Amino acid sequence: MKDPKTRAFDDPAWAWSAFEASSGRRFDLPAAAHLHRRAGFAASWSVLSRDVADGPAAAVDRLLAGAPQSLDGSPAAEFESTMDSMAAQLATSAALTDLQAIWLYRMIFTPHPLRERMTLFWHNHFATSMSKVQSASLMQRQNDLLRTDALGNFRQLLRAIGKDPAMLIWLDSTSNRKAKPNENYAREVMELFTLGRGHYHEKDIQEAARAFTGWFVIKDRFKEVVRQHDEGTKTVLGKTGKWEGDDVPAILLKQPACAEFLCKKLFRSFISETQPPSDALIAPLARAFRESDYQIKVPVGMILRSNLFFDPAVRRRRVKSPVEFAVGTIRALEVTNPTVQTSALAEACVRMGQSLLAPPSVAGWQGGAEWINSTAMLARDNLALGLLSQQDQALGQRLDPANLAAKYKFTGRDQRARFFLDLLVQDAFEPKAREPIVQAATAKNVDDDTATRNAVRLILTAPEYQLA
Amino acid sequence: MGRAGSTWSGDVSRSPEVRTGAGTRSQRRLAGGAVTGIARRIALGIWVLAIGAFACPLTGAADVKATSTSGSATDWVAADAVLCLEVPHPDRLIDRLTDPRILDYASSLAQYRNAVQSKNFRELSSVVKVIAAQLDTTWDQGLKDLTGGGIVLAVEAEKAQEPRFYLIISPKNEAVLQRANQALLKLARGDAAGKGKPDPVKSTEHRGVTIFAAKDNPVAGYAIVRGRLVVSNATKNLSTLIDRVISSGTAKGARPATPAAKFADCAEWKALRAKGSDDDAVRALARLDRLRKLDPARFAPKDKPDTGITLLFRSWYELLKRAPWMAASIRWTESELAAALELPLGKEGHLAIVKGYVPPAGEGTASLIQPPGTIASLSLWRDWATIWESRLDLFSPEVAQNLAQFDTFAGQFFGGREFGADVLGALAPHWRLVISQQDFDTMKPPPDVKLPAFAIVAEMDDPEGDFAQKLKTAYQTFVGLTNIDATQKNAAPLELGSEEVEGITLATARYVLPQGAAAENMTPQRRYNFSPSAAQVGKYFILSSSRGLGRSLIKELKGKKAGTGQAAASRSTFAVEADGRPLARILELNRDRLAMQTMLERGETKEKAEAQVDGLLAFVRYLGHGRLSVDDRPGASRLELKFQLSGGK
Repeated sequence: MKDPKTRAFDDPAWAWSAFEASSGRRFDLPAAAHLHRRAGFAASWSVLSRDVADGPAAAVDRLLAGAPQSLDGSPAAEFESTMDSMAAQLATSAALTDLQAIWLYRMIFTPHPLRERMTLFWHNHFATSMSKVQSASLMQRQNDLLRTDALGNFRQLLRAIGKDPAMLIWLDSTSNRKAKPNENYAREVMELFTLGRGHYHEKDIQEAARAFTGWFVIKDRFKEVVRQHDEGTKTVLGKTGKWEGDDVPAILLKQPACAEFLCKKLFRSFISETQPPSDALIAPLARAFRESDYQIKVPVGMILRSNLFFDPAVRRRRVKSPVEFAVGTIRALEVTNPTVQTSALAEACVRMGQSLLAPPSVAGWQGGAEWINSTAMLARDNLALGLLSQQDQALGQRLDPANLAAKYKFTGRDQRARFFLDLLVQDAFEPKAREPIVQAATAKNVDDDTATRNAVRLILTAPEYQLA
Repeated sequence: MGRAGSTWSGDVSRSPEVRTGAGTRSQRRLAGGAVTGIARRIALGIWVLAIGAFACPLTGAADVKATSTSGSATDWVAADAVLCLEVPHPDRLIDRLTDPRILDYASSLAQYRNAVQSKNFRELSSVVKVIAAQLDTTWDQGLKDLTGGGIVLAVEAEKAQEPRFYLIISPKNEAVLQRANQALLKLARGDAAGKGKPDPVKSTEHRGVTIFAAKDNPVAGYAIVRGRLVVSNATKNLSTLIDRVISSGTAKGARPATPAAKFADCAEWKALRAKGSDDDAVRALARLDRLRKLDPARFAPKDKPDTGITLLFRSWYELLKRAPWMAASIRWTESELAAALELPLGKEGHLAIVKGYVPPAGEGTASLIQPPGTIASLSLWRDWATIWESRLDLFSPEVAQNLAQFDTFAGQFFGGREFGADVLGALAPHWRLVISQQDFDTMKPPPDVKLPAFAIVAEMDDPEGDFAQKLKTAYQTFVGLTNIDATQKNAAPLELGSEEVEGITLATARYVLPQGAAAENMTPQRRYNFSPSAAQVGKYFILSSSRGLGRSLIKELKGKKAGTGQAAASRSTFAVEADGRPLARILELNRDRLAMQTMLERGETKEKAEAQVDGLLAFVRYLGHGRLSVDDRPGASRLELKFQLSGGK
């Protein structure tokens, strides 16, 4: 899965220029599907058709702004309000699976897939696990925080996450006394959240930890205990002063490495996880991020509109995470009336290797090839079979592929096969790989419904479908 | 089955029979694409063919002659049938099932929606509508006409042989059935002819009766025998039944040749019919002894049931293991839904090990306590001390070992008393449970999930002894242990208190509320439903989940003098009454949360989830007031369930 060297990776000016469709570089179905796979969770046939017709600029604008309606038909604001209310009411005494189910339900129906995608991105960035926090309401509160600022201002998000009780419990920083500063949060905020290794010294961590003294979590609430704050002078990354905790994010954000570090992460998420970007390629993106005072929408929008993003060479250079696989399949196949039992979907994601709200470590999920092993692939196959099953009460009985194809006027058996190939994998298959799908859909010894299900199953379990 | 589809598949609307059939233009249009699959489905098996015929309405039903059938269809069932189920008045049952209150609730359920949207149902429904259109009637009226004489389902079985299933449907008029059959055969043959296929129906004669089967699935079949539609899982079974009917001469008023061989003459069946009324919707009798012999793996219960079953239902479990038969009936009118189940007791009576479960002759449960706001009230006769004595016989060795450990712990909890003799032995076998509404408006803070209050009322043999004091101490110990756990979890502790209610001391406990800033940030929590309370009223000890219910029970027991008097005589072993209206009120208070849980558990949208919850609320209200009782009489145990149906929302 090594990326070919292309002009896109070597020419930053061209790479970040806005993509414009032309006769040689069309904004066609594969391009539109690529946009939704990366910036959302895959899209339905109607959305793909609309975006192909409207062009890339309109498609990206819509993703950045969110749709006016959720997939359940309710207005976007009403849907968000319902979900906030659900989270507030049910999270109080919820088990981890219930919390995961609430989030997955939101991902499936959301009118703003990019925001949910970015919430997932920040969850992996500020990785915090229920396994240690042991409080569903605190985990939900952090999730709400990540969503609020998912496409907002990173400065604000960084300041808020430093006072988030779940984060402080996760990093053992619930009682940061001046006599014994806790260095955990100070270390992670530099290493994992802003700068990356090599851009700070141990002394910087110790000094920043002194700035965070007085920060406590008492009865699940953040509290500043003034008498426990070290009021002395500290030097953090060359800046000296009587710094308090709130001063540290500003110092970190002034470091050039910060925007570069974050943009590399965005690059890995949106462009390619197999080819690290050169410093020269990242520089324009990071500069724009800094100059916008860390408005997250700026680099995200720049990436999604870019020549590089739409270059065919970067398609399927990422392995879909289990959540992307699960939610994307459900959204693409329109399993929304009703959708699946989301707690069962959450359990399926765990079996595939991604337990939402319970990442394996402070560094989050590694992603990429780590998602693929024999157990995880078997779990992916089982989820696909579950969705197509007419017996599985939790995951199946909701999807009628032949009916879905008929909705878009694909009625013949071979037409159905082409419909699902175009909807789910577009140009990913070599012509020879398409043959078994068409054969399955047109098999004479099985009825229409079974043949269509067999064809969809073959697509969903194909290696190509596991790539984003 | 797959080949059947290819044999009969095609657009039936092209067949001349359908094109020229009666019905409106729109009805004929319906026949178009939908019937393509319908005909295929018909061909999928003779069962579907028969069900299609079963559902066919006919013209001229209003002026038909009286049915040529006489007597009961159970005359045609062998006396030793393992199961016989009769629906004497299907037309009434159809009216009940299509009651808007039932349909409203059903249509709010995803399972129902899925079922009616399923391919099979849609195809069958279309067949019925197409034929109804041809015959100028509606599907439901046609169904009533076709089944108006009653339905009997019977299963006959012999060792090492396939069971014989019979569905016998008596129409109001034989002509109705004949015409329905002709209409369906015409539809199927027309479809085949339109596709250039041969006649898909195989028909054979047996003693002058035609047996129909699908050619590509000739095993199952149906026949019209003496004016009744008989469907069976094998055509040879139909021949058997035809032989039986002709040789017995039960049809057309002739005297049966072998009356003893008829199920209708069995004493148990006769008794079941005699106990029932004209309002019976369903009655059924199963021969458990034969089923256990024929298929022990499936029908013989295991020797020792699970612990939960042993604790709650062991006597009835033992009865089920030994009863020779089981009879059931359902009565469903505009205002009442009732069901009864009877299991006869063998000559040897109840086993000694279940002595603690069955009241002695003349004894039974104490009267139900129903203070204002009661959702459900339960009364149980259970001699736990005797059950404890028999624990080694009742439970598995592993469970008995656990009970031994529990004995040690429980003894300490009750101040060093022996759990069996001194604790359980000090309690009478009358146990009552009350579930009641709470006044959430006066609760500070109100809980997030609004739960009903519940209380146990136990009866002491010697209220003047020190056992009552031991129970109060146990209550305080429970509160203390709860507080230790709360301290470890940094949760709110319980604060002990007491109050006087009609001269009785009610010991109370309530969760300590946070003060100052913490109070402002306090979120409603489930635990605020609870304020555990305890009191002694005469020989009764009340343990309640809330102070409010504790107070109500004191007033109730004092007011009715039930607290000091003899419990009202009852022959029941178990009785429970529930009121759907207060239950609906509790559900309504939690409507939003229930809808959210439905969204997650069933994947529904908010709108549909709310519709399901509202459907449930309406259904609970419709069920009105319910009563369930179990009587262990000397000859048999009888379970009765009755709902006084409410008028609606």
